[in-house]
Amino acid sequence: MTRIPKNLPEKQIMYGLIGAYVDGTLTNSDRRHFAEMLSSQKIEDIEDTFASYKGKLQGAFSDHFLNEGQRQKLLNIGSTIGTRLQSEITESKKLRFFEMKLLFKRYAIVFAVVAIVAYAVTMLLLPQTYEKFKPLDYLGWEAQAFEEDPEGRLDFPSKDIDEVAAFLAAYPNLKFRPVVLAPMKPEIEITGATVIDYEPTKVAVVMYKDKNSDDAIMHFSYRGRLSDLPQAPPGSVGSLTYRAFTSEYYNLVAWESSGEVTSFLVGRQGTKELAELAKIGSGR
Amino acid sequence: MNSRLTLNDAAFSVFAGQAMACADQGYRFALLLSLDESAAFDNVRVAYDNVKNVLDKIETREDALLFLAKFIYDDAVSAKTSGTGSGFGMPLLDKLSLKQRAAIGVIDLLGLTLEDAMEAISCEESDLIKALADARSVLMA
Repeated sequence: MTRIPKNLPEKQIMYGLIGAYVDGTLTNSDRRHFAEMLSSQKIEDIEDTFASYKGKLQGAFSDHFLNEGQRQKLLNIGSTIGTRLQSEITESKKLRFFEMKLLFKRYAIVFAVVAIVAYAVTMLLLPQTYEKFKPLDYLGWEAQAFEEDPEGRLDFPSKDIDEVAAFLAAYPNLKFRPVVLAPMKPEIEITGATVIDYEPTKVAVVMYKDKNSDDAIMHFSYRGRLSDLPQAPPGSVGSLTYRAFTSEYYNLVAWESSGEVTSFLVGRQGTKELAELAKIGSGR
Repeated sequence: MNSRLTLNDAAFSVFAGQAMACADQGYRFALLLSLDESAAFDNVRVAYDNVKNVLDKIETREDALLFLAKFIYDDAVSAKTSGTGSGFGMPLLDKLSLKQRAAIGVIDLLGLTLEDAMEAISCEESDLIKALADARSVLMA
């Protein structure tokens, strides 16, 4: 609450405290005293005059305010060193995060390119790998397939041993000299030849037929060592040393035609009979 | 680091909050004192620079307004720069003294209490009421 100071002229009290009087912040006794002063001075309309003056004063300045540039200057003053430092730290963190993201993207791209190049180089330079040729697994089945469909399987059907030999000798990229067995018995005739490609092993096939029993006899030869085959009791007929094996339907006799060519004679005959035929055919 | 952040928070709070909310009122008060727009803004700018030193004493908008008024008045007293006030719709303003304009400024324009007004313009109650009365009697005539 406001009290009227002592020792002030009435006019100064009236003009000085009219605001407090109008706002009701004078103490009750001072408010009564103030009202009495207004009556004695006969200026009862001072309240309206004060309101009008106050409105004019506030109106005179209400159209004046800071523009955006001035306001920003004041804000900059308010921006203490700590504020600026904090702002810079925030900006720095944002920048660092952006840089890390960019760096990560770059590394990812470089890594992807290196991986692609490495894969391409590997695919170009690495020697192609193939499944190892397993004659004992394959040749029994091959013999059965040839016997069931000789016309479909033989690329070169012929009953002429010289033609068959010429066919195999001229076969491209065979990389070994295939052996064609000489006539073994009068009742066994040659029926043709072909080459099976077990990449990278190529197998030369010569098919014979026993005219009496109508059984097929297959002669397979390929580049390889007899010692690479699974161990089996060795046998010999004359100077022909062989190894004998059996499959589900056929017997197999294997021998080395030369230093680097292995031959298989496959048929329903017994192993000794097959070995005998091989001996005759190979001239040993 | 914590104290820096506290000061930082206070600076934000005061300058972007309480003090900036009083910016236009402070500018009008400075304008009333100087009656010149350019001088008024310089006046306010100096005042804001000084407010930085009393951040710990400012909690409310009234606190901010009081300190702003005080610094504006102090600067106006030392600057002694004054225009004609012809553009403010109250030609009689330039007939008043700086103290009289300050008195009606803090009370009738800013709406400070008598106690705050006395602190703002560094005067006794009787001086303030005398200055108010003299100024109002001229402007209300």
